[in-house]
Amino acid sequence: MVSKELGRGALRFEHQLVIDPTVCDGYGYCVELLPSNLIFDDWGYPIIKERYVDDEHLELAYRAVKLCPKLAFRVNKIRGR
Amino acid sequence: MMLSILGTQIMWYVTRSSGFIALLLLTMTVVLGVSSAQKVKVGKIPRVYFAELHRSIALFALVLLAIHIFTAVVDPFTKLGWTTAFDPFGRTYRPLYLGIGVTAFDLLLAILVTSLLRDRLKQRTWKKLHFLSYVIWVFAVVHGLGTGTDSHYSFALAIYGVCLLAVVISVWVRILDSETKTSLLRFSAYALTLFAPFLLVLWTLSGPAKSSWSKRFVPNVSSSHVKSVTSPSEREAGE
Ligand code: SF4
Repeated sequence: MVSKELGRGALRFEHQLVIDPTVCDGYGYCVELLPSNLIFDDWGYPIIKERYVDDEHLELAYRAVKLCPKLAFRVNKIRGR
Repeated sequence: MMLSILGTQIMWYVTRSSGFIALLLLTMTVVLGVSSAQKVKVGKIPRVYFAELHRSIALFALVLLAIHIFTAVVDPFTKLGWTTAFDPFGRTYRPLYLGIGVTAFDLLLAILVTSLLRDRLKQRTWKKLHFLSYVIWVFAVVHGLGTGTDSHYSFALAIYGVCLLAVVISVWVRILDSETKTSLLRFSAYALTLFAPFLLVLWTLSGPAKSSWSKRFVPNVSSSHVKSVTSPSEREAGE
């Protein structure tokens, strides 16, 4: 869970992993970068174990976005509750 | 005076060596890129490391190319203008092979830009442009051999040979391993990777590998001599 304090009103953001399974080719880069959030299935494709990325792993998550050869891996920044 | 002579010589050495290093880096980039599709692991190294390496070596190659072009342009001996870096036509100095090199650089910049903006483009556009890498690599080799100051040295030929082998082998492994059903694509890939290297070697042996090749490029020669640069038959006849 990620939250960001902005001035007086607290704005919370959550960073959510999204994988498009129709495009993913199972290169596995994302799983290798984010073992905290993802695991391999039996065919070497990623399974999302934990959808929300914490601050600590955010940089790695964006690195995975950059390196995913199919652009199947995304991080969505959404307004939290 | 002494210093300026030394200075221009240094430029010339830097141009040549940075060219070779850039070719080696481009070769590594291509090999890493081609083999990234193989889902084989090297020991326990995560495959994502090779993806990172592909990226950073490509950027490093661009830096080397910037140096290569800068020193070539600054060198008063070559009499090149700054537009040389982007405009492949109308050079008087080794026009054909220089133009091929400039074209390769321009295409490389296109790949750089589309890769940086990848998330804003269609995946297909990015991928199609990335296929140009093979053309760029071949152009880089032909440019290097053709401009030819060092092409007749065995060390230079060894570098080109190693680069050629590395790329051809990685492409073959890739084709053998691919699950592509379209046999036409497969066939043309085989044909190209057999035919193109063969042509390249033949051309190298018939031209750039001879020590007489680079002597034809001595600048400040009469215009008739400059013209002969683009005509291989005249070049042969001149021997
Ligand atoms: S990096 Fe992209 S293609 Fe590879 S497994 Fe992850 S989502 Fe799929």
